[in-house]
Amino acid sequence: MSGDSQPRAQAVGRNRRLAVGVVGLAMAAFIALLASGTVASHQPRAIVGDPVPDTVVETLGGDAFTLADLRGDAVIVNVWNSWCGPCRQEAPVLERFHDRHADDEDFTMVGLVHDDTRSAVEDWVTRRGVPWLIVLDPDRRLALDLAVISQPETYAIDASGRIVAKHYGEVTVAQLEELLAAARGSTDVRGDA
Amino acid sequence: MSAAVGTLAVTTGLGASVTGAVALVVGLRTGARHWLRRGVAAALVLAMAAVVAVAAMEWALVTHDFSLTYVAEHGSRSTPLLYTVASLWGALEGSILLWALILTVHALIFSRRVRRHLDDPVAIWALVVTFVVAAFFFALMAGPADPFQSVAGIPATDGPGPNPLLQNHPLMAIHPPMLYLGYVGFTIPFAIGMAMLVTGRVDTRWLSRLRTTTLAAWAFLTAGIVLGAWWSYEVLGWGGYFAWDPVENASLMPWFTATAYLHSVMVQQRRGLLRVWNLSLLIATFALTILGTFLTRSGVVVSVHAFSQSTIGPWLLAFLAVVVFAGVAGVAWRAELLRDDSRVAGGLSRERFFLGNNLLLAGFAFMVLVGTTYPMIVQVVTGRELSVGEPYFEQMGIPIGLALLTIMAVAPVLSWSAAPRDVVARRLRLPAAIGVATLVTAVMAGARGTAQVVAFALAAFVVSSAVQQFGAAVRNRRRARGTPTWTGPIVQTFRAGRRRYAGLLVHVGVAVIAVALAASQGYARRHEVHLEQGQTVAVDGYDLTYLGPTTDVTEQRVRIGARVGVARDGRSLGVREPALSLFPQMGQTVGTPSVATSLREDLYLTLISSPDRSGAITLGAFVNPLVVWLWTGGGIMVIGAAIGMWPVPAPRQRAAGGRRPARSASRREVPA
Amino acid sequence: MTGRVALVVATVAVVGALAVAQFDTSTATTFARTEHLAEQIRCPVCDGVSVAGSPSDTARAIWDDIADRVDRGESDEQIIGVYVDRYGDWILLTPGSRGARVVLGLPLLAIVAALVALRLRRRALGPGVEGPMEERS
Repeated sequence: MSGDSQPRAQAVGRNRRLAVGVVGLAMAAFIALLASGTVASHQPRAIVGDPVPDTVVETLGGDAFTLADLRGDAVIVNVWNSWCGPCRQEAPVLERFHDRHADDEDFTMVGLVHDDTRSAVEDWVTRRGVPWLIVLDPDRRLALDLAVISQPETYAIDASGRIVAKHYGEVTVAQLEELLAAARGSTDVRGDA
Repeated sequence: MSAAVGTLAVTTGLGASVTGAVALVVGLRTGARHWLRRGVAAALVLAMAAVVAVAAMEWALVTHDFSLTYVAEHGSRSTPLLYTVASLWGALEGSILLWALILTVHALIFSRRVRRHLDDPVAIWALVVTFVVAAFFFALMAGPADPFQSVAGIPATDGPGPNPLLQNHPLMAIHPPMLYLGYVGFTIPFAIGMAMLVTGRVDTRWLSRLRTTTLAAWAFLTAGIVLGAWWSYEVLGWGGYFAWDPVENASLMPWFTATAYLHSVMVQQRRGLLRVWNLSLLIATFALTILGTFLTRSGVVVSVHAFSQSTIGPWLLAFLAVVVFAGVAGVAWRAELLRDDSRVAGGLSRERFFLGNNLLLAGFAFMVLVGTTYPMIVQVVTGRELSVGEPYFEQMGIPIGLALLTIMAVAPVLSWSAAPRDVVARRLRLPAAIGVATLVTAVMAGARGTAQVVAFALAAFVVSSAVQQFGAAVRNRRRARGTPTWTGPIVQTFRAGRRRYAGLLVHVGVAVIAVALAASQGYARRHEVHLEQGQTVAVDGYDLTYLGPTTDVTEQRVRIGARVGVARDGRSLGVREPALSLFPQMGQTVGTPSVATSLREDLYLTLISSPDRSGAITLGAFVNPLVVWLWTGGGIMVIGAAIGMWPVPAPRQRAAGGRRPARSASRREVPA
Repeated sequence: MTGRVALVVATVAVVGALAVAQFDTSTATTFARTEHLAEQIRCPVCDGVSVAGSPSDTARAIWDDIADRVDRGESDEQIIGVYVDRYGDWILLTPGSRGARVVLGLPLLAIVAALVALRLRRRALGPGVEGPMEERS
């Protein structure tokens, strides 16, 4: 080793420590970001604000039905299937909420089934005595147009036929009240209620 | 019963790993050999604890002990035995148990070696690090991911069984254990690397051990990835085998960094170069396995492979932070010791091309990491939601992959230090000509698409370069011996340069996979046909006749199959039976495709919709060229790796010649 | 001399073959267009997997919807637009924003930067002890 290679070696060592420091910081930041991301889940809501699709589906009674028919009402649409656990758990909540508003002139509630057999749905509806309108969408046409990605999901639609809010997962009565308020136009909720 | 035994075993395992680590550190500090011996012996207790815990869980699964939450949630009386046994790795808690078992077996094997090197602090520290890692996994099982939790109240008499997707194909019984053998196998190399940093003894004595253990883990991981792709192809029914799903990506990242290490460690062995880089690769590989586990097991992603939401996410992340921090701090602390002996030679030197391949391999891993985690990070930072998927990974991965193929053809003909230009040109002339000829032939035969035809050409370049290397060595040996036969020289050449030719064999496997990827991705033909019973339709050269439906009802599922007669050019290829299985309790429909495989192409049939009112079905018929070569290429790679790491009967050879494997720059073989 | 001729012939062959390989002879069928679009749209109930790459019923329904739209004569942009309107940018598997492209391009940039850095360092340190011809044995 010649004399002048000593400082050069030291400089290389310094650079290396600097590089290691930068790498360490970058990794710490990366892990911190992942840590805060552990609770995040994807809940796209681009559909909120759009007019309701005029896709035709069928009621449990066999009649043609489209959400656009309900223009003038504040509408709550609940997406569910009879085999889905959270949907079943949610049923009493929906029943309580519907009982509360059953006599409201401007209120309609719709249950949308997109991934189930007719017989299983009929079974469930008869057993629980579900009083609100149930519609079947076996080809997922309406579900697709509403950008359904999970179950249960609950939508609020105002009297002009505009989707004003969307909730992912099980709802509470209080959340349903907020969704209904949004559908009645008294608040301007975008997204989660 | 099982719960009590299992919990006791987990607690014992946790205790053994902690006391083992403490005993070893005490032994190192005081120099007392009996402490060291006790510490090493803890590995045996640890392994026994893991075996007992796994046995307890399997016993509970097989005897349908529904008092255990795990069995109640993932077992069922009507599940076939194979899948009942395999449901150990069908869900989170069980898979951690399997992880722990593999880890402790590795620790036990390693401890046998350490016992003979009690004077070597690197060995002792490596065992300490292994114990710490084991303690983490046992702590997971003692706390947030307890596999032996009991159900509250009266146990049910039957359960729902494993996820339908996971009880549909025997490959499910092999693919996850292979993957885990790979993932967990990177623990020992990591531990040795960390031990070098702790002790400051960054010497070459451990390099060949590091190389072999990494190679073994790499081979298992390769097998795991290929089998996973195969499983996905045979079960999922969309006609493909790799979808750049985050869970699949998680297995690719450590594979690429480990592949980089397997090459760069040779540069360190031969030339004393790239020490920091190599240790970083070892640490990164291990960290990426933990990151992969986090991505898979913590509920941040939802996919066919990922397990449901759980509470172990923060634990894994904290452990990842510890690993990364310890690794980076260690490298920084020992930076001076890690200075290289010399610099990478210029010109056409092999180390320079290895450096290039390392950049590309690490770049590929980085690309997968960025693409996989970018959506999560953007959501945290800006709240916006976006996706990164196949189009991105292909756009980035294809050029990197093609560059890697090029290096793969050139680097093996180069010498350490440097080879003169004309020698390299002479060695590459024929392989390059074959590559060009392949390109022209492929295009003339009608192949289109730049990426595809370039992949074919480069694969031919790689294979012919490897064959020529071997052929030249065999010819030289034959000439030197003056023997008229070929078999003798072939065997001797392979034996003498076993590692090198095993490596080239792995390259051939990669080239085969490259061709299969290019063809199956680029030239797959998909069709969809509507068929009445008895009707025949011609699809892409095949005549498909719908013979009729079949039904098979078990307690768990209703399976509807469609018997389809397949013929080609008037010759019958038998009856295939794609099916759909409905699992009513899960509300899940699972397709079972039927694949008619040939060397040239697969006819992949899926039942898209079961018979409608008029009895007609919709059938997906995909023609996927050369898919069988993906699995074949994977097999070649694993065989190559196995040959490369098979224990050498070296001592005799070494004693006879008095020569250690050359650290010199010459790549000429030493005649045996 | 013959070496140079061979090199020229090889270069011409490679360039010519690559030029021909660009031309895609396959016709744009409904199926091919649907597949092409389905590869760019994520399956909304899966994680990071395209509609083309998912066996789920939802992906199947989207596939059918895309095929219908292709048959109705909608352009690729229109069809993609419908899905972006419904789900937002999230539905696309390649983020369109410039920021995203920069971040996602980082790996390639890193490889190139590393190559350049190594080259510059070599040059800065001058010719080392080991020249290209040294240690040839």
